[in-house]
Amino acid sequence: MFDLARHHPNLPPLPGVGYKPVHFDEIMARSSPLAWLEIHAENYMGDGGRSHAQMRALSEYYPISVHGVGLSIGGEEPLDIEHIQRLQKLTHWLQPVSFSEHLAWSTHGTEFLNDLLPVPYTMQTLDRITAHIDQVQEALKRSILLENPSSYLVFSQSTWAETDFLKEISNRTGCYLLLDINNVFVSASNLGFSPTTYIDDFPLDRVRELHVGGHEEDQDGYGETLLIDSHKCAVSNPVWSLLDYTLAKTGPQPVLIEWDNEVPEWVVLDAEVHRVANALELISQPA
Amino acid sequence: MTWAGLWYVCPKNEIYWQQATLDAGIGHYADLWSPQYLPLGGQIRKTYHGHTLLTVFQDRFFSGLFDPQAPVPTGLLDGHQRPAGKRYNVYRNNVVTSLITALQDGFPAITKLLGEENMRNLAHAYARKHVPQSRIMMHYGQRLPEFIANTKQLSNLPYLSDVARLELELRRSYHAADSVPIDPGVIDALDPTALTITCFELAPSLGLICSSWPIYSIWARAIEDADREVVATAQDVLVMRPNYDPELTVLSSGGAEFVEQVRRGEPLGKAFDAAVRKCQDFCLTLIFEQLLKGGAIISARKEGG
Repeated sequence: MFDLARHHPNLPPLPGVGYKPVHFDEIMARSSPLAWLEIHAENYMGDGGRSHAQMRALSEYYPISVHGVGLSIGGEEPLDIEHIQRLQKLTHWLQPVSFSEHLAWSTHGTEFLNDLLPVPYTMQTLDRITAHIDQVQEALKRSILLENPSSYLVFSQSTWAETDFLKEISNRTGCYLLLDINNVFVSASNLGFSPTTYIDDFPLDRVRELHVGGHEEDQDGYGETLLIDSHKCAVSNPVWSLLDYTLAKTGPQPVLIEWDNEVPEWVVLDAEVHRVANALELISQPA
Repeated sequence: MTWAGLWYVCPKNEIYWQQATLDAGIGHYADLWSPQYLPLGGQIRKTYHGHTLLTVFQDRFFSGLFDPQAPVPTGLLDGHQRPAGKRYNVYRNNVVTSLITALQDGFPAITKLLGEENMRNLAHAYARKHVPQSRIMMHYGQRLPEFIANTKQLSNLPYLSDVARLELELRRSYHAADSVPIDPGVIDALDPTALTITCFELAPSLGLICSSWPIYSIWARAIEDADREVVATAQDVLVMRPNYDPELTVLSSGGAEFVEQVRRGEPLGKAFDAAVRKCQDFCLTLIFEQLLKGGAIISARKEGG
């Protein structure tokens, strides 16, 4: 198995944000407890220009985490070799500290759907996903992190609990896990399970990064509340509480704020960064 | 690993069939689906590797994403074992909205010229017909100019397709490879005879859009200044990226012919002849000034050298 820690330093157990170019100047000023940045891999797969220049400058000061949305690891088709090569190229020049992807699929035949679509949890999908992760880890010469999804529905054919499924994938492939606290909260609310029980059942020893982000409320066809993982607003209070609950069990972890749509001014995002810093400080203090 | 005797579901006509014992090595799934395994009438999809491949849950899930009238795929449940129903719409909405947003962001002038609502409708129609064929969304919308040209309701805006081409070129230039401009001293040092047999390499970020419409004026009015007068002349527009922001320059007559020849690797003398054939008063000094200012000339070599 590839040992991430052996080849690459870890992300620091401090606040990070999903990087948006509009915040470049403020982030370069380094006046925030912000300690690392995450980018979507596919946004940096052009040939050059400002996005690359900004990333070269930022990576002088901040460890970078590359978060892929296009590999379609949960897809039924073979992984796209050309896309893996693009990831190799990106990780070669940027030398990110971490690479993560999703337990999801996003391509169908030649078509890319630009969204993370759900996977049934069966022996067949388990075999396929572990084979895909092995292939990616071989190609990138590093352990990757796999993120738990936000769910709006389940598949009748699923035979595994999500936490067991992720644990088995991690055991088989040696990959680490990215635990998205907002996704846990959204899925728990939408599917009617306890978010803290999910955290209790999660293989926390395999976690190397946490995410928090904003969600919105909608309604399903039965008139019940349906939470949508929209990443376009502040983190909600119950998600902050669930973060505290998780950190108390895991100890300090790198925690990322995800705010991808309707991106606010830096001062708003920085307030969330401070809030993460406080949460991390609380658990670092001796009891 | 071995997948033995798995049952697969054909999504369209619900035929079931048995898959023979398969050895599923990494990266070889596509080879498994050789034609003798396919049932008659089964839905076959081409993968991007050109092999045929049948998919199971994915095909069912995909089938209704772009058609709001299509029934929700079976086998999807809420947390109480009830049919998922409207919950499937979250994925429909996410997919379609993300593609519409990508097109709105990628074509700001078209959005301004059409208005938000019309653009949303156009983008929706485009997204349904042209689902991205690449995971690199920064280049999504390559066929929008053609799609606009073929959209009857837009036939009263005949210039729109060329403005869309210009916006695609701006985006391509923005993400093109970096390059270092030539030292102007190198060009100054060439005598006129040497110049005519010199070939110039142009920056990867350089682009050229020729139109029979005043596309620069229309674009600038939409993006920069709503009070701007639109001139009534055809405009050929050069896209150059001196630093990180692509800039537009309207070429004088003959300029496009000149740039096309140079870009093709022809020596200056031949490029100049092509420009003069188009316009007798073609000014070589002006086009050089424009190209140098845009950082668009990156190297020079003698013809054949």
